[in-house]
Amino acid sequence: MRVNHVTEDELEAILAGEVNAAVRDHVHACTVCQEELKKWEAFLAAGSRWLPDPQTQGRVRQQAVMQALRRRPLRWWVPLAAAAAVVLAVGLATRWGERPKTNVDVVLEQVDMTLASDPLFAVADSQVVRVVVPETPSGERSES
Amino acid sequence: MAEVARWEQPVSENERELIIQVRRGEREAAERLLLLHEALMWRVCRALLPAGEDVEAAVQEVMVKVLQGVRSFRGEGSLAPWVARIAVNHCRDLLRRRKLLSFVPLSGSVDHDEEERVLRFPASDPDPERALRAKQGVARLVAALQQLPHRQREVFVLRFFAHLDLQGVAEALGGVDVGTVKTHLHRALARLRPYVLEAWP
Ligand SMILES: [Zn+2]
Repeated sequence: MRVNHVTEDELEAILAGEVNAAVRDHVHACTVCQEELKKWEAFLAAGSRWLPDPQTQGRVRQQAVMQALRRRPLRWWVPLAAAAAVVLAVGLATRWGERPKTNVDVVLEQVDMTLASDPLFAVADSQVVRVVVPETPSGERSES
Repeated sequence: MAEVARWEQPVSENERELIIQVRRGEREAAERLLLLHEALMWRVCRALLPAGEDVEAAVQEVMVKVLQGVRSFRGEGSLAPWVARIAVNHCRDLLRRRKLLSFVPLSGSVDHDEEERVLRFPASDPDPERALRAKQGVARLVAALQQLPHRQREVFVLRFFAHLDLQGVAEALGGVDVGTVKTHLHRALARLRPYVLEAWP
């Protein structure tokens, strides 16, 4: 019955927009195949329109970006180690009469190095340091 | 004229830049990268997940995986097949978790056991014709796609809704050969054919 009509092979090519001349000629002359192709096109068009409203798309996209690019949660030992290092540095600085600021810089460098050696933190390192800074002991504020 | 200029520049050029920016943590680039493949992710997830599944949550998770995975993306071509692969695998994971998917689709072979599943037409409705007409196009689409074994549905959706070429579909399915993709695609078309002829006036 469909010996001369469009086969599944040809149908796939037609629907993908890769049609050869012989098939195109047949379809142009054959109302049966034209009818079928119209139905397939309607079917595929429904699939291509198959998207939520732009607001939903935008919201999901933005949530995904926030989730993917946000600062990763600190490992439990990172803030502890950083805080301990700062306390130690401030203590040493006080003992040797140095200004704590330079030591904090050194400590932050150490934190940087610790984080850099952890591949999972490679992306988030700069943000991590920014978070660590406010966690320095209150003794830091005596600078003013 | 702007259209022409865009065609002349390979898509992957723009993608390359965006990928580098995303690796630096730039949000705007991340959004633009997602925008390039957003429709693909929605269509794949919607077509492959069952009606009760939270498609929004699934798409969001796929997007997060894409943005995180892109940091280690080493491919040469367009991201599309790679993005599609993440979406397909995520849907498979969700279905497995719901115990709705039993086959392990890692090899390139055709799933003959799946082939033998009975083709179900929506005949359970008391007035199929009226019910069918009342449904939206999308609902009919879902019903039709549900007639397909999962692998055939994946191939069909990747080819015609995600608009990947045969090689891209093969990549998205984890590197199966193109011949396998064609086999599944032809079976899908053969199965859908009577449904499309009957249900699409
Ligand atoms: Zn014909």
